[in-house]
Amino acid sequence: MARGLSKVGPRAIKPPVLNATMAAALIALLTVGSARAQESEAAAEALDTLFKPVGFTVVLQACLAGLVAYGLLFVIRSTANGLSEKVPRRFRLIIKQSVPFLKGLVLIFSIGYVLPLFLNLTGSNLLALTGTIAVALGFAFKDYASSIIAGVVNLFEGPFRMGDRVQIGEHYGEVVDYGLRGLLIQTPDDNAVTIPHNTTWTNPISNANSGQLEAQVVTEFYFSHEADIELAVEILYQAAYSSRFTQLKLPVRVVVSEETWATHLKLRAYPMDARDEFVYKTDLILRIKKACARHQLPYPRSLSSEEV
Amino acid sequence: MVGKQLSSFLQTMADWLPHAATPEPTENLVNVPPGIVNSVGELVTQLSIPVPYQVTIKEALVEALHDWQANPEFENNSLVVLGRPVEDIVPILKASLHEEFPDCDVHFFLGGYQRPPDPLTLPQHLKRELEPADEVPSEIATPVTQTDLDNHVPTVMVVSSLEQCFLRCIQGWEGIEYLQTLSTQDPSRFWVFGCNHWAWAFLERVCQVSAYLENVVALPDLSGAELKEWLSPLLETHIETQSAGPIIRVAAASDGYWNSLANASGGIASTAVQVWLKSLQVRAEAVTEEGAVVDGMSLVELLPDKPTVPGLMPLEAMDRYLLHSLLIHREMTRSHLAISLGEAERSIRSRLQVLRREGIVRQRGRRFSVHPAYYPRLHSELGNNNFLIGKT
Repeated sequence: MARGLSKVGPRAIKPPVLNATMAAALIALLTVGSARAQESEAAAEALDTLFKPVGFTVVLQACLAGLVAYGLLFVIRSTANGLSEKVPRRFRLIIKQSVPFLKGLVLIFSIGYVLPLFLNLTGSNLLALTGTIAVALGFAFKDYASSIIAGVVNLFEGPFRMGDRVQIGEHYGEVVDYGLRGLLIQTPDDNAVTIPHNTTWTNPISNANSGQLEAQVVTEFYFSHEADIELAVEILYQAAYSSRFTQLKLPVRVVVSEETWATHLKLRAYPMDARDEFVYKTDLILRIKKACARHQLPYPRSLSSEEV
Repeated sequence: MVGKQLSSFLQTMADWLPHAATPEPTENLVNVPPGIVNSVGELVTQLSIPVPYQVTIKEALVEALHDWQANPEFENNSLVVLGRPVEDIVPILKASLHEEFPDCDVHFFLGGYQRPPDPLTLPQHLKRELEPADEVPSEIATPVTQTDLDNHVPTVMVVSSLEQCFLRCIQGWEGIEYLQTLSTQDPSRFWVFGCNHWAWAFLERVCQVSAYLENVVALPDLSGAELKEWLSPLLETHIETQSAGPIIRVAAASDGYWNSLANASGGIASTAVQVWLKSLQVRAEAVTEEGAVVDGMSLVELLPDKPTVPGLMPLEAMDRYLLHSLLIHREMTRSHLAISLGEAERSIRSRLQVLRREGIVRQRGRRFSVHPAYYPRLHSELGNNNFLIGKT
């Protein structure tokens, strides 16, 4: 820039005042034009240094890396799914919970391998690249980026893990996969529901077992006000203790509350495996109803229209 | 914690390897013909109760009796002897208490007791069983103490098998509550109960049994040397088979073998004897290709090979529930098993049959129980599957 000015300077001193003003404007224009040209040259040079020359070998290497990563992700998912269903329960969740981390490692190493094949990752290049990516994501892939970031945050905050039974929005089920963009839950009706990670930014997450094998199951019963409630409570306790599904290491509780039309009993107990929650509840209900029938414990009856 | 989980995981993985559990016979050793195994197995049943079992029970009873007699108003008047669910505790208690306490009036109850078909009638059933003794008017209204001048001897009531006094179903453990009440309400008599660790753990959860029966003693784990001593009547002696077949001789084994046997069996006598029988091999030239003893052979020598517990087949969820129930109750009929699982009898029949065919469950008359050889593996299998389990 200094060299440019020194070239123009001597010519600007000789003309008269009007011409001098025009010359000054010309000088300014020339200066700006020259600066812009140099900037674009510098940008072109920068792009040259940001991107490496792409040859056939580089493309092949990148493709191979992609294939290996895909294969590894597939192997991790299928091995973990297969193995976790065969090992004893105690190890099932440990295996499942390791899947997101293993997948994350594969992705990090793959990206770490592929990027340097195409880019010169110096500090300034990274800065330029980050800005470009930020603009691109801001406009085009906002939700996708949000999901990925939410997925990483969830991984470390741990509001749920693989194998947990969660309620997100209207969907309840077991977390069976944890992807880059979303998680997959399997509902009790055997539907697979994909939920984007960014849903968890704003929606509450209800986790039934939080990384444990057991999850509390609440079984509700209503008895008539005339019923012997002490006996009913005892039956509920014994039903839980005698069910083959019950985790006896965890407490069993019966909570009684009074409604205008009935006495409400809640049996809170834990099955040994949260997956058994529905079959457990069925077993409890069958046992309790059988015992109640034996003792002729009266259930509340619905009022007739005349009584109402 | 992580290390423990890892080692448990590795152990489980090792358990899966089907051939890891069963040693390949060496070049000149083959399996013993079944007839010979049965002959030795019959002799095993005639063995006396292992001495460490008897000593442990006697010492515990002497101490508990002494404490109770010294302070009858505060000391608990009972002793619970805990064994593994694959050990028949009735003969163990009989051998340990019979004629060993001349200063006591020992009564045995419920020796071969079985639950009534309807488990809800258990309390009445128990009352009937124990009532004759109850009705005898006791001359002593207060507990016998060491300073008793009339030379009255204390009464010791032995209820051999607590696990037969309950069933895991609604109102199924009222029999235990009856026994708790009976023993605590009558401090003039001392009570000895036999039970297994799994049933005890269950009863502790459901009716806090240790609050009433606080003195507990567990049968000890037998060491290699103790196992060797217990089985010594069968070692290096000539055993005659019933069918006028060849004479059998079990060869001596090293101390390392006996220690391995103790480790593999967890020091449980009933498991150890099954593993020992399974480890016996015979030279290939002594048996024909069909597996029978070669004609004209007068002496068959049985050589102990590496003792290993048999591997488990892959278990289904129902198998685990079924085996857990069998281990809690030690021995039960199919109908009681169905009640305890909350299933119809026909629903469990097929799985019970499969387990019986695999040898994991054995049947004696109408009663089913777990084969002792499988106990160590079942213990870890059920423990790893989050079941409430008793001692190894």
